[in-house]
Amino acid sequence: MRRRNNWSLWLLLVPFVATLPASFYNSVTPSVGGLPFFDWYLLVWVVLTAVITGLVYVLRRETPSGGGRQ
Amino acid sequence: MLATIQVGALAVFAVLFGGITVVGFLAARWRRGNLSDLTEWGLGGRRFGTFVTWYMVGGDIYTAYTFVAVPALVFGAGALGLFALPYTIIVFPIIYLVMPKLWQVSRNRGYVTVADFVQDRFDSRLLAAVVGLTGIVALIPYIALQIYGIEVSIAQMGIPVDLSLTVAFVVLVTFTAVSGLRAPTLIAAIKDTLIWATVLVAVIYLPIRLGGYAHIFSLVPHAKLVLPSKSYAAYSTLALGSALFLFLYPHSVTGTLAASSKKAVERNAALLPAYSVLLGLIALLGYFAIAAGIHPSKAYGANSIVPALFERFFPGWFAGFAFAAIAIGALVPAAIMSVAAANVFSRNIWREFFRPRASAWEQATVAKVFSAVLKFGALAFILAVTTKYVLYFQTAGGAWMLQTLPAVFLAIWTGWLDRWATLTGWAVGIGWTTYLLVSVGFKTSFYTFGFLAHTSLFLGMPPLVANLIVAVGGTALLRLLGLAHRPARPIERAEFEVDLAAAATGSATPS
Repeated sequence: MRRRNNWSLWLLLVPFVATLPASFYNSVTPSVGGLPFFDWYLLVWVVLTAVITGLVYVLRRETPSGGGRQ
Repeated sequence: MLATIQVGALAVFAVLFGGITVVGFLAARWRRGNLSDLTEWGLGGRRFGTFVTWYMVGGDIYTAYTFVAVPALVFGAGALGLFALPYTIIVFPIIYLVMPKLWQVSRNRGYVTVADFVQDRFDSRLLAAVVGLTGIVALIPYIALQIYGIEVSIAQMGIPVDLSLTVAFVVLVTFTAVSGLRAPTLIAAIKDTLIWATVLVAVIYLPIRLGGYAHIFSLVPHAKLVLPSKSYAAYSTLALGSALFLFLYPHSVTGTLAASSKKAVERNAALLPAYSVLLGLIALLGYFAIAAGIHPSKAYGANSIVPALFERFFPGWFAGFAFAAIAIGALVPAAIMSVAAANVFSRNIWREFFRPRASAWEQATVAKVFSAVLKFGALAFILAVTTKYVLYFQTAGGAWMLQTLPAVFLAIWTGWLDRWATLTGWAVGIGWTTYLLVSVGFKTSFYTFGFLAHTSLFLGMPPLVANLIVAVGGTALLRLLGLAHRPARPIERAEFEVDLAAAATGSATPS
């Protein structure tokens, strides 16, 4: 069995660092479209996390010899 | 709260709720399987692809919790309630790290529940049983939260709550028994449509009525828009704890194992955040309610503000539509949760300890009866516990659930842990958590720890740390003494990665 690309798993740590310490984004300004920074910052991170997880999935996809589609 | 019956809302609500009841019973015929077999009744025959898994797992995790509990916390406690966003952000990396492996090993070894995995991994029926029992007990307050969500939307329409809740409850119990996991899965598709429609209308139409986002937020006191620095630790630990416990819950595992492939599970880790966007927008409804000057009801407090907001601003028929979305959005997960808990009870308790030779029919029947019993337990929980924020029902169960992390998540990545050390760690964690929950009367999920410089934290976290120290330290000690247990059927690393049946016959198709 071919080993999967495991270094890319470290990317998954990024959302933790970005969203758990509230002191990073505990502010009303700058607001966007009336939304306080606190709120839109987190909404942006929802999208970024989906992108990161998707990227890790693509990077770690098994090579043809490695496994099968359902 | 309301003396008058909202006729328009009630009519739409009744039609939608009646419609999904019919679907629930017809679901037994969908992708027909032998429903007296537990894999069929309880896992839908493991045949759900990426898309079905997406909306079913979504239906699992975005529930009355999202619609009723989170906005209520934002309304009452401000930015603290927004912990739900980091929570539903970091849960996806966590899913990606553990669930595909759990899916693959379950496929290879035929596991239906997470306790099946624990039993094999540690070669311990006892550890499997306590992990299973933790899941069952932890689901009681979570199911209670769903029933509560149905209750607040019914109450807003001004109809007799006891009677209508009984009707909703009977519907839930019977269609779960008849159709198993198929019923909530099929209804989840309808539910998602209702919820997306309601939310999109709410976040576009309500701001127009309330004078725009900028105006809404200018009406919210500044103190509610940001966190006081003394709440940082509470906020972060509740977010991290929630993300860690969510996929330890039996129903999240059921939703995952019902997928048809490992790929479907991996893809979902990237697709499910679509629901987190939804959750973020719904959380804002708490701020909308502040700006609109909604008064919490006497009976339900802040927990009733979303139905009250809808009733105030939506035309009657659309309010009914939205209430149906909330009620059905609670019904689906309640059904999935009770099916999952019933699977665990039937396989890991009943068959394992009482009736080893139970037939497939008997296992499935026991599961059906137990799923009904559990819902009555949830009903009793609502009557026994009163809390200002119903959100704490979910986190109370979660604090218990978290204590199974070493036995499940750690064990997915390593076979190093010893069964007795892990069991002792669990006992320490559960004991401490239960003590804390009882001492706060289940009313909150925060506790101020004197020995940690009087910091307020999610009360499940310090017990988890103690649990991990005991499990890891105990294992190291037992290994040093040469007393660590070697499982009879150790699970090879490859069993978490590839389909062994396909690999053995060489039938693995290129991707």
